[in-house]
Amino acid sequence: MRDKIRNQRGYLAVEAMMAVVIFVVMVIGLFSAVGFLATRARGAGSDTEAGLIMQEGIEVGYNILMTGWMRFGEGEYFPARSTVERGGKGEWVLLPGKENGVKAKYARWIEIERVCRIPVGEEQAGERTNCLGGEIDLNSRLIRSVVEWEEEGEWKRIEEELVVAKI
Amino acid sequence: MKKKVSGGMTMIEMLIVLTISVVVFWVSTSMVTGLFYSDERSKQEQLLDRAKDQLEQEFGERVRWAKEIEDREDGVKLDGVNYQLRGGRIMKEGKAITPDRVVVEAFEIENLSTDSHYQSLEIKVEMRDKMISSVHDSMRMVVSQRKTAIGGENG
Repeated sequence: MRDKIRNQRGYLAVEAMMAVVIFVVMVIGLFSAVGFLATRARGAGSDTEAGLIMQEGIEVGYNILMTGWMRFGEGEYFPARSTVERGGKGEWVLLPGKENGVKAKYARWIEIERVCRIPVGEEQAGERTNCLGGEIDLNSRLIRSVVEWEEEGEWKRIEEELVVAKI
Repeated sequence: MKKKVSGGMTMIEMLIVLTISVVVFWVSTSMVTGLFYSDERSKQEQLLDRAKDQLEQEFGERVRWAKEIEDREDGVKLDGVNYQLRGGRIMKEGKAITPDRVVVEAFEIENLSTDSHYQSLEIKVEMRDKMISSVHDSMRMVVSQRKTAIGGENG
């Protein structure tokens, strides 16, 4: 009788301990799922941020071309602010090369290229083509804004092009 | 004698189980409370994100296709429409375009173009949640005025 009673008391403690362990495992599993979803949400935020940086490149490139058509030749540049020529007031300039460490993680640059078109008299005249077989259009230039970054060991890249016409 | 030892062991086991249960429930309550708070915080962060999206859309389209852009001390005037910061909200012709729960702390516009016919504006907005001040965000966008020409005989 005593043995039976003793065994039943010991069994109650074991049951309680098992219930606690199961509960803790469930809670850990739940919070792991929440953490996974939070990581996914952060990834989506990076894409949005990169998109804004890319758009800024297009906007600055457009303004630079419209305010000084041949001020910058073909090549790779990145947008910067200068206060040298306007007495302390800022203005956009393009500096050669790529800019790294934008918002601590992005690399960005703008590519300016010539635009070539199919010559007049040929089929689809006026359409853009590669410059080997086409004529250079002196009244058009191409801006390509590129952003690259690394996320969870994988490199990502987005780019956008804009053909600007001199009017 | 044995009965007394058995009674003492039962109470100790119960006390241990109760103590562990209290600790577990306290930890789980803290986690649930934290989840609830972060859920509330997450909602306010989403509200700030939506406010940012709305401002980006408003200024992006307005500035890009504006025929006339005038610098103002407290904002900007786009084709005769005034945008100003008043009472922690951005006003468009006197009507708020940011939510009541969002406090706009700074609204700065700088023209970085060298040509007044092709303006390029850098627009910066700093905002925070009215109730949870630690929830804050900022927006910075660059948008350049476009010029268009229609082709044809009169183009």
